[in-house]
Amino acid sequence: MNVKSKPIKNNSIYLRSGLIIITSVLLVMAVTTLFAYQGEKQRLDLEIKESAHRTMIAAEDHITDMIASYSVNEYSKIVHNEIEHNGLFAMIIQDSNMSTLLGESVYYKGYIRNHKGEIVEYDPADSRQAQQLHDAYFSQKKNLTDAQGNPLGTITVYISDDELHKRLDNLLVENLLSALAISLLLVATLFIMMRMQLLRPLTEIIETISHRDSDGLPKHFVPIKGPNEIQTLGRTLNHMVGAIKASQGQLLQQQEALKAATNRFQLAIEGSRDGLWDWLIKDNDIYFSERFANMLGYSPDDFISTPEAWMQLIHPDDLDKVRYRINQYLSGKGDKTYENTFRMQTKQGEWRWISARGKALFDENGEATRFVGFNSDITKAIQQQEELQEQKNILQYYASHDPLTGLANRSLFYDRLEQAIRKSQRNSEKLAVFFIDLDNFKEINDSLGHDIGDEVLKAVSEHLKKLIRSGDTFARLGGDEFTILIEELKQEQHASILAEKIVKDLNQPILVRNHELHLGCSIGISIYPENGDNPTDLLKNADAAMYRAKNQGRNNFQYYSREMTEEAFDRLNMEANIRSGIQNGEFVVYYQPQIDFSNRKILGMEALVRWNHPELGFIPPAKFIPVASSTGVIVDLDRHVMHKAVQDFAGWHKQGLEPGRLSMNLNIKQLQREDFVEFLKWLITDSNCQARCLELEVTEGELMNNPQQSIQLLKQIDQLGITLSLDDFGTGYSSLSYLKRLPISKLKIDQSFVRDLPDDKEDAAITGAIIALAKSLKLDILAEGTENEEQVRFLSEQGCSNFQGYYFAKPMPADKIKDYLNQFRSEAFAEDKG
Amino acid sequence: MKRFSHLFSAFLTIFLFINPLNLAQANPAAEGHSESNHTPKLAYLVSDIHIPFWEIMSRGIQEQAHTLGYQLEIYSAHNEAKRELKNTIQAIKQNVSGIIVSPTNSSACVTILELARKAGIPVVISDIGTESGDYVSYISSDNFQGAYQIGQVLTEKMQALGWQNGSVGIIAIPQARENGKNRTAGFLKALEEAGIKGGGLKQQITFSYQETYDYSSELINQTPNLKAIWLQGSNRYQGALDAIRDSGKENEILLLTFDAEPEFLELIPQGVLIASAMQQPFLMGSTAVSVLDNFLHGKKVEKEIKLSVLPISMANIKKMQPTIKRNVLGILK
Repeated sequence: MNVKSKPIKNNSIYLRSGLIIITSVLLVMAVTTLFAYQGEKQRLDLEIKESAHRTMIAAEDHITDMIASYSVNEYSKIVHNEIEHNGLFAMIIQDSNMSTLLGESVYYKGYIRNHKGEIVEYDPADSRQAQQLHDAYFSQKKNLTDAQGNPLGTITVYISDDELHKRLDNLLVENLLSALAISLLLVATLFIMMRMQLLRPLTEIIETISHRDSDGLPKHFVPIKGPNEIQTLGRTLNHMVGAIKASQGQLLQQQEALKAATNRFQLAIEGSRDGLWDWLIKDNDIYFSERFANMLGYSPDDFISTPEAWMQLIHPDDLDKVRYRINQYLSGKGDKTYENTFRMQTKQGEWRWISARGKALFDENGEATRFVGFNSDITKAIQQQEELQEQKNILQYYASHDPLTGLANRSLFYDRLEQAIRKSQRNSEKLAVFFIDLDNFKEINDSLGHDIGDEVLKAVSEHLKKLIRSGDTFARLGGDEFTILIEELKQEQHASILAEKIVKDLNQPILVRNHELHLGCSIGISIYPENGDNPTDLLKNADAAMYRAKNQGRNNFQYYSREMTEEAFDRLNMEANIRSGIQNGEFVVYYQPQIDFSNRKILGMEALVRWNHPELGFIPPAKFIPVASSTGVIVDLDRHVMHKAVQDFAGWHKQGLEPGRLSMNLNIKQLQREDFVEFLKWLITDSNCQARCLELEVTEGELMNNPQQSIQLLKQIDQLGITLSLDDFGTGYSSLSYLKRLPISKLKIDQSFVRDLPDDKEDAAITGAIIALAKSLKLDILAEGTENEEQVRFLSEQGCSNFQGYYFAKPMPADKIKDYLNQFRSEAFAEDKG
Repeated sequence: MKRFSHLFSAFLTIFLFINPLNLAQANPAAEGHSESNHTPKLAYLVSDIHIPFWEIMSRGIQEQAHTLGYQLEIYSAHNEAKRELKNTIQAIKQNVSGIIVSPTNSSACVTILELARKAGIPVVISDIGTESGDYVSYISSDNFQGAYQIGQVLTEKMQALGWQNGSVGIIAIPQARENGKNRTAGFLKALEEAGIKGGGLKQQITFSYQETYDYSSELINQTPNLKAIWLQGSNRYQGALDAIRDSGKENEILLLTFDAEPEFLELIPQGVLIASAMQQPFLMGSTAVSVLDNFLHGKKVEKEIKLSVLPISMANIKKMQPTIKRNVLGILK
């Protein structure tokens, strides 16, 4: 593009600087001229005055002589000459000689300039001349005397400002002319110099840069001429043009690269199954590609371009995750790639699995400004993955399970056992491993065939599944060998209960394909940690115990250690003995008084069961209660004891012994019985005992196994008028919220906390806290197991005044109670008297 | 020549005694003795009546005034400016009809003319002239013409004597005077035309005998081939003659003069003086009165009238004698 340049325009440097030059020069010259004029004016003034003075002095002698010699014309000529040649306005001689001669008062002779500047003779009678003289710019007068000092007259010189003005005008004109000439010369020189030195190089630069290519860039480099600044300008322009051309080239390349990249990107988007989204965060505007919409069964027009609209399509279950991940990524300053997987709803209402990947751009403050990424529909992949996982699970299942019975196989059992060992190790728990072998299976298999044998195995496994807890592991190692893993075993003897059940169960005939088959089994039991601390040892020992069971005549179980086996059989015997003991009245009730120490009164008694075995003598409750509890015989036992105690108590009341309130332990197994409330009603009615005289103690730990159900039942009991207290408080993990909801009116501090009081600081703190808690909940408090005075004193100081323990009274049989009550009353009476 | 000189002296003596009125007229105190109050009166202001030239001129004025019926008062300034001004004032106060002035110098004349102009009295200047001012007419001698013609007389003489290679010295009146310049110019023109060199010029200051003698001696001594001396005056001719004689160059150096002395009527024919250019004072005076009269009668007058200067030499003196006697020397009988 060629643009015809106009180097000199109205607004050009040339014109502007020209105006500046002209103005400056004229200004300088005007000031200079003015100063020169003023100086010259002063000088002229002085000169004229001095000249006048000099003229007068010079003429004085001549004129004096001429007056003396009556040479009027001579001095007139001198006067004329002086005026003419010295620029005087007038010079007038007052000639005393002539006035004397003429007989006149004065005689003047002189010349004056008229208005035309011509020198005319002075006429004293001419008023105009007189005025002119009066107006003269300067005058000087001198007296003239002869040699003897006689006055001869005067000489007066006049200077008019006309002369001064004339000379000043001339001077002004001369100065102005010279200033004008100098100015013109200066201006012309400056113009020429400026044109040569500045404008021409600049014009060449302008002309060069006005020849431009289609991009508007100069075709040629500008010439480097003129002064340094313009050369620098030229070099800078060339450098800039070079740099622009270079960057233009780069830009072109970048544009092409960008275009290629854009095309690639567009093709990739179009070709891809992924949907593009581009979220301008600050504008809250989001762009979705067509594919994005199509992926969800929408047309692009259906989409509202806001993140909120997009969010609405996300599965509610995934929404929090999506928001969390996005926020996490955007607050993480984009160090990594954003990745997320979630479900989105299609227009048809189906859910599609979407995998999103993206990157954000951040501004200088670290704020995310733009967030771009792709959504991929991975529903198929997820489905395939799920199918694969399912197959994998099946394979894994078969790898770890017995295909026939669906039980865990040896491998899985080993694995579970290993984990269970570690868990027990951590929790200081015991576990048991059962090794079960069917006693007559080989014969059945051999006689009825493998199919029947397999059916038998399946039937056995189904039977046994029903017996074992869901959390325990039941496995078939192969053949007719089964194993069971029992975790969280409180006592090793508890294992024998299950073993007994299994033996009994398999002792029953099994119906398979119309065959009533008698099986029987032998069980070997090994206990962790006593019989080994690894799967191999425990299995091996259980296997060994199983063989011992077989040797013992089959159809029984054996612990790996003989002591355990004996204990197990003791338990089994004990259960039977308890049942016969109940029948035979071997269980007796003992009573331990509960004292209010603050007023030395008997609050009541706790009923405690004692087993007086005809052969073994008194068996402690700790021996038979757990067995009774674990077998269910505890219910019969409890009801037996309760019935007996209530009867005793009703009798004492009738006798006026004021035994207080009867407190009885309530086993959780009772609460599990639906007829328990009915039993209580019967008990009250049967014994004719008032419900308010009865108190049931529930154990905290037991209640918490199923608190909801327990609360319901306890409320019914409470409604009967029976007092409820919480036994062994502090040993379980009571939720305080449940505690508040329980209809209890008393807390019993467990004797384990009392035992070491007041020395044990922790126990002291706990008991203090329990007492404070009871007070705040407005519950009565009673301390069990108080054995000495220090304990009583300490607890009293803490605010607990109700006690039960050896310090006050040991449990005693009913026949002793009468005496005790009588004695206590008499002692109390004596104290009162005393 | 001696006889002519005695005759002239006798004439002068008689004239002075016979004409006491005229002498009295030179005295302002003589005012009251005027002949008649109604007779028009003229005044003649003269620088110094005792100088023969002015005396001859005054007689020409007087003679013509009388002829034309004017009363005349003559005021001599004795060559003093103050006296001249006083005379002028006096004359003006006499209410004269006109003034004829032969001023002490052309500058002083200006003041006289001014005073007269203020009094409204017409003035005719007779010789000397004025530097400026209003006047009726100026009567003068044609000095250039006279000097030129006398120069021609000399050159002819020198050529006749074969002295054309010799040079001529000039003892001049002050060259500041107009008449001095004209005399020198006319004379040199004649020398130039004849191809004769000038031999130096001396200006008279004191107009004394000694000055003339000294200047002549200097010219003789300083100029080797000096063949003539021209004296631009007449009364000190003796000083020049004595210098030539004393230099021992009598008959070798010619002497010329300007104006006339009565004895020249003898000396020129004797060849003591080669020639003299003679003004005509008597004629000038009578001409002045005539011009003034014409003016007073409203006639047109010439502003400047130049009367010829007579070149008198041995060749024409005899023929010009009557004219010389009347117009140059004022001898009426």
